[in-house]
Amino acid sequence: MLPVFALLVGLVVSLRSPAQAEPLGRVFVFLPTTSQPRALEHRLGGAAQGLEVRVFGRFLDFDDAIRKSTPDAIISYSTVLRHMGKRVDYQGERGGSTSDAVLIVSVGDEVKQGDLGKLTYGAVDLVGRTDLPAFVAKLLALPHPADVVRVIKYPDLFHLLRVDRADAVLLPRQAFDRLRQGTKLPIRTLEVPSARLGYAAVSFRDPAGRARTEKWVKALPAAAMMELGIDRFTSAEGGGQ
Amino acid sequence: MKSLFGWLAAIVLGLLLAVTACQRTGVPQSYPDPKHVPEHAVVLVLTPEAEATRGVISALRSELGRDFDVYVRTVEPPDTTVKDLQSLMTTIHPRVVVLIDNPTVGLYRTWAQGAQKPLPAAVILMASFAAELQKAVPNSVAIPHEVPWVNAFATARAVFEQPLDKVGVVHRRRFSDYVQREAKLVKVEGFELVADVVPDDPTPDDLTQALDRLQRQGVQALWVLNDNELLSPELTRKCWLPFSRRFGAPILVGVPALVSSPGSFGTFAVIPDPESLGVQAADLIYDLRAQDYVAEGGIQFPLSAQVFVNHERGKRVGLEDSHLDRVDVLIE
Repeated sequence: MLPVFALLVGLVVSLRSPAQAEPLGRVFVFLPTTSQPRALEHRLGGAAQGLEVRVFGRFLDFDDAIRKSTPDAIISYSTVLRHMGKRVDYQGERGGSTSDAVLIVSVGDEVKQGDLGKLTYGAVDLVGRTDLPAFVAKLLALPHPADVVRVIKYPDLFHLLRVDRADAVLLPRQAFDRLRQGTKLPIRTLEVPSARLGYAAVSFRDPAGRARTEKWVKALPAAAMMELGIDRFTSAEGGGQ
Repeated sequence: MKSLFGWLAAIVLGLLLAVTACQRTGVPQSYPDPKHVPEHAVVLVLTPEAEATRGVISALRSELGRDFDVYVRTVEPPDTTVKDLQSLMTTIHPRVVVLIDNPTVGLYRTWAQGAQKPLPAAVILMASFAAELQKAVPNSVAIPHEVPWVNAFATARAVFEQPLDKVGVVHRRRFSDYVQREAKLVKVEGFELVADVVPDDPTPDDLTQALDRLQRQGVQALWVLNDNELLSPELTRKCWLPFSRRFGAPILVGVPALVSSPGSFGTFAVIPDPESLGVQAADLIYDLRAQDYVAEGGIQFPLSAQVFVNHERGKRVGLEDSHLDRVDVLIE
């Protein structure tokens, strides 16, 4: 009786754990927006078709998970995917454009183009702590890594401005348009031509990963696209969905 | 003999399944082996066993893990003594100690008074009155566990999306300087802070009259100070709860329990976001490494906020469901 009981205890504990049946494929997403990551996960997961869709709030967790779990597809800003050395298989578009302007947002006095190399910037950590200063410098076409205070959510950038922790913060126009509604700060913006962030894009791990997840990418509903900040995905090989 | 093998095999299999299940559920390994010889500089996290600390510790571990050996130890003074801490410090030799919560800071401060110099750098997190504590801990920096009011109010305004420019606060006389400092900071976002002062030992009448005066002045929200005296069970029962039923506007607090627990009265709570706090502390530790573990900065504001909203109370003061995506934790 005791052996049976011990075996049952083990089985019950095992079954009560969140072990899931193997998913048909895995999609990992890292796409900081003005919404909560769980809102994005809810939208994407709702159309998952047996796939496991995980949304990460921090780059480091995303990067670690990719190394450990080799997902079939990953979704992030195309600029981030390229920075990571990933191929872009599907590029998101919005209003016919594949990228968004990144605004230099400050409070009070106007930021002058010639001073950009002297400022401390608040930025969402899109590529990890070590790479972020060079990433920001590339966006702003600066000759040396930028002085950066990193945060993990776009709304936090305004916190930095309010307590004078940064001279300016970097915000994609889409996020800026939404967040400015909640603030009465005397805001100034500056746009530089090099500062563009490619919209959400998809990178498949390999042909097998593509076979498992491409159908899902193509069938994403409009609400999920909106949550990704885009109107549609276009195959990098040509032709939209 | 055969049945003994069957018995043992079943137990072993049962235990294996249980252990595997626990690994899958991600039970944190809070006690890494102290005999392990570290490859990197050691960061020792001293923390109480509390759910609220998990996000911070998890972010610290992942952000620092590639460059530091991170050890996490649970301390529960007075059960954990200065002698225990001394033994830990001489075994682990940390370059940085992360001190979570006030009792942990108190224990460390006592240890530091008799410890051999140089001391490790200390990072104080999730502690009340962190600015004062930090001055008493040698070679330390601190991130207070209070979101600057200007950020708390602006976050509330973004969630409620209704006129929220005039905010009332009741405070005891001893906090006047603190309130005045915050009042200056909130102006940058166009907030008007209406402060009403009560004696340091307020009666229920003192508090009720102050709250009613604020309401008559037309404040559009009320900010509740994290002051144990003002939040005593008696004042909660006799003043805050009755006032919350007749106020008709958001009550903003800095403690999640005040929006979630039975008998609470808050509508909206804002605290430093635990994951962001871990990231911010990790960046501080990298800065300390660059400064050869000499702490030069005193206090750093928390850079991020986590928002809790009591859904039912929120709806009563005009919170629309379409704004809930700006809320981190919704209390139903």
